[in-house]
Formats: sequence, C-alpha cells, structure tokens
Amino acid sequence: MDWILKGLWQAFLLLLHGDPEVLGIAWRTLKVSGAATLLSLVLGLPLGTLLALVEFPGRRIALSAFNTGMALPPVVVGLVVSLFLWRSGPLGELGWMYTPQAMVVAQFLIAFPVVVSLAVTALQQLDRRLRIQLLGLGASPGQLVWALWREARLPLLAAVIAAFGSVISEVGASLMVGGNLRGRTRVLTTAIVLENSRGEFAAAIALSAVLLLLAYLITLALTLLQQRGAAQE
Amino acid sequence: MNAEARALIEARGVVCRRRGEPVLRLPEMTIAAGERLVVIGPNGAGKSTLLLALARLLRPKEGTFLYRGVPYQDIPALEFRRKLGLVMQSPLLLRASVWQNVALGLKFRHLGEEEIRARVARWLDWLQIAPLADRPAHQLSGGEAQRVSLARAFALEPEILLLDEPFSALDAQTRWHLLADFKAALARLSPPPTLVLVTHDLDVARSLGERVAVLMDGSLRQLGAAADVFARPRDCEVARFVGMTNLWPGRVVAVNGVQRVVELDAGEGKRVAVASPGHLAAGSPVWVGIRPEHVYPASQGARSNVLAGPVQQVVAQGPLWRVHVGGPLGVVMLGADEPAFRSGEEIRVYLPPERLHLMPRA
Repeated sequence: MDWILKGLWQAFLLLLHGDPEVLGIAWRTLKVSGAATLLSLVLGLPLGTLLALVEFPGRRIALSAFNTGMALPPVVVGLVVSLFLWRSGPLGELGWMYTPQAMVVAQFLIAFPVVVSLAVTALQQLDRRLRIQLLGLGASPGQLVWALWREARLPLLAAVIAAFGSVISEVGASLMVGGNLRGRTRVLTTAIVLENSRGEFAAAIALSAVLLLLAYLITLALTLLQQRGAAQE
Repeated sequence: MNAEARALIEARGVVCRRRGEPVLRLPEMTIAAGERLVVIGPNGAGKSTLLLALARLLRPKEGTFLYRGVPYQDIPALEFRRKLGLVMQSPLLLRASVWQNVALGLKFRHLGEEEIRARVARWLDWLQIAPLADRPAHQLSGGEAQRVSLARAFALEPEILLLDEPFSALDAQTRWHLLADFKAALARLSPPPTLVLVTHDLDVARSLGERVAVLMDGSLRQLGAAADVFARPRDCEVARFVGMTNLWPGRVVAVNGVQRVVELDAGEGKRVAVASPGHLAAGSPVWVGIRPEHVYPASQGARSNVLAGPVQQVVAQGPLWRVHVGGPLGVVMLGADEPAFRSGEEIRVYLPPERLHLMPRA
C-alpha cells in the first residue's frame, strides 16, 4: 500500500511546485474540452430550441436520435473521426489527424447530442402558454427565444455542465484522433492512461488529481452561475 | 362617425378548427374602437380561441379578421402584435423581479430607459403593487401575480387589450378587489383601449362590459348592450346561460298593442301578461322568461301575473337570498332580504309584465 501513499505525496509535490509539463497538459485539456463544449453549445442550443419549439415532420425521429447520441461511445466517435481525417479519408486534406483540432471535433461530437437533448428537455419543461404570452406582449421571434433561454437558464446550464463533464473525462476518442503526442495532443486523460501503462502510478495519481480538480473547478464555476440565477427567483 | 368607420376589428367568415372540428365560427362581427366587449360563454364555447385569433396568435382556417379594414395577413405580424396587451388566466410571469416582469413588453419595444422606468413605476403604483417591485415574481400570491400580469399589459398602454379569464383563478374577495382596481386602471388609459375580455363569470361581465357577446358551441349567439343581453336574451339557451333561470314554454293567445297574453303549457291554462315590443303573433309558441331578481312576493290584492306554490328551498347566494318555489310552474326568486318563509309554506309571487321576456320557441 506504500506506493499509493507515495503516489499521493508525489502528486501533491508535483502540484505544489507547478510542474510545467503537468500544467501544460492541464491547460491543453481545458482548451480542447472548453472549445468542444462551447462549439456544442453554439450549435446545439439553436438546434435544441428548434426541436423543442417547432413542429415539423421527422421531429420525433431526430429527437430520439439525439437522445441516443447522449450514450454515444467515445471510441466509436474516435473511429468515425479517424476514418474521415485519415490521410486518404474524405477530410484527409485538412491534415488534422493527431492535432488538437481533431480532438475538438471528436469531443464536439460527444458533447453536441448532450447539449441538444438536454436543451430540448429544458425548454419543453417551460409552460407552453408562456410562448403565447410573450408573443402577446410583442416579442419578436428572436426576443421570444432569448426570453425562453433566460427562463430555462438553470436546466440549460445543467446541459453545459453535463456536456463539459462528458468530454473532459473522455479518453477513447482523444487517444484515437489525437495520438497522445507529448507537448501537442496529450491531455490529462490520455496522459493518465500512458503513465498507468508505464507503471508510473505517482504521475498517474497526480494527473488524476489535477483532472478532478479541473473538472470540479469548472463545474463549480458553472454551478455558482446557475445557483446565482436560482437565488434570484 | 358611422359604425363602419369606427370599426377597429372585423371578422369576415372566420372559421377556426381544432383537429378538423370547427371550434369557432364567426360569419361577421365588429369590434368598435375604444369599446369594452366582454365575451361570455360556457367552457369549450370557443372563447379562448376567439381571443387568440384576435391576437393573431392562431390563424383561422377560413376567413380573416380585419384591422381598420386591412386583412390581418396584410399587416406585418410583429407590428400588429405590438398594438396589443395580452393577459391570460395564469399570470405566466418570468423568473425575475416584479419590476423586470412589468418592464418586459416595453423592452421588447426598445423604449428608452427613462420611459421604461417612468411607465413601470406608474403602473406598479396604479395597480397597488409598488412595494413588491423588487420581489421575485415566483414568490407572489395568486392575486399579486395577476396584478403584475395586468401591470405588464397596461404598461404597454396598448391600443387593444385582450384578457382571457384574468380574474377566474382568484378567490372571490381577491377577485372583487382586483376588479375594482382594474376598472380604475382602465380609466387611466388615454385614449381608452379597445378591450376584449373573455370570461365565464357573469358578474365580471356585467361589471365590465359595455357590450356582451355570447358564444356557445363556437357560434356567436348574441351580441348587444350588456343590459340588453342579460334582460332580453335571444333564445332560451342564451337565457339559461345569462342567469334567466325562470323559463316556461307557452303560446301567445292574445295581442293588445305591446302587451301579449301568454298561456303557459304547464299550470292548467295559467295566463300571464307580458309587455313585449316583439313581433310574436297570436298562436306563436314561445318561451316566457324572467330573471330571478325581478320576481317579487305578491301583494295581497294582486290577481294577475301571480304564481303560487310551496317554498322548497331558501339558500344564500353571496349577500342575496334565493327562494325556490315549487308547484307546476316552479319559480326562483332572488332578493336582498332574508325571507321569513318556512320550507313547505304556500306563497304567491308576482311577475311584473314589463320584466317578463318572450323568446320564439321552435
């Protein structure tokens, strides 16, 4: 059991001294997962709004597809993105394979259905008559959507938290499309896998601690934002 | 100015359907600028559908509404909706402060900060909710929340004010307080808005409406001055709905000028005299109706237009007393004083000829 305690101690020291490599990996993790989450929000919220508010043929089918997408295995995403980005693949010319861009794309595909699905749920929980009321007060379509987003801000922030949580903890896709290249595409999860396979448990524990801390801090920030909204009710 | 020129909104052959079934049919109807129209009718009569269609939030399957002679579809939707203030039965406030809720429609219209502040302050004050300005809207009582919803619509100082059962979710006392403040607030709007209020509450209708429209089964059954609709309903269904509970089938047997003598089907050839300006000829089958508040205990000497029967029930109705009299021609009497009758006691009631109302019977 000694080595676990030793690992924890080393982890503590690593963090205390601000090991530049660890910090670099943490920063890259934050950038990649943050960009993927942001992208999924920017594209997923409008699509979720459309699915929640507008009746059109095929809406239910689309909705169930996105609900299934919430359980999309990251390795499958990794495989699909690899196939597309591989040098001979349809998007091979981009040269994104084993780059942070590829990881953002893969993580985006994981986070996107989460945002869409939870945004639909969030908006459908609002009283349907609220839309009529807002239009009757002179809201333009844009103002209507903005007011509904504001009204559903707590569950929408929960969607963002869930999306971020699903990508920052993901390892399969990042490993497959990023390649875990030191200094370029290594993120916390892939680094943990590597250190673990090399028997460097102290490093693995330290990186895990950083990952947990990072996930916690971001989620804390989002939760504070969310609960500030709740307190205003 | 003739009525056509004053028409603000007209319906032309409007039919609204839900799942293929027509829920509203309005061949024609005119709402004058600045009038107060109260739409009454039982549940499911199509009242809310009418209001949504007027607000252009529901598109009729056939026909159209016209605003100042222009078909709705030729007016940009947003431009039209910004002439409205809409209040619904449920206050539907946003998760924000009372102040922010009242400011909402003004912000939609991009009014200046100063103007918004002034208007919100004014209407919060006029609807007696100024002390609640900073309270979260979701912590309000039902009556307070509905005041906020009203202030939110009034602050727009709209040309057309549409209200769907705004008082019906409230308890009686709250309702009457709010109704009084609502009338006072309405009087402050200048020019007065065109008001269309939908309700199944006859008391609200009588206290607010200049004109009353009766909707039943999706059709406009009667539209007229409030007093007229309540005292002279067009047919016996409308009569029942507007509270003319005393209705007897009969036949006109004699016409003397404006007075008609009607023999009632029940009651062994009982005859009543009716002062009726109508055109019902002798021999016409009719319904004879009278509102319970227009039935009085008969004086000793009274001979004509008197019905007799045993008292079946005496019940309080608000501050009034309702007496149910039995016999072949049962009659209900409504009065301010608690009656001294005992259950089962034989009494005589008087039906004033000028209060009796005749309706054609098929």
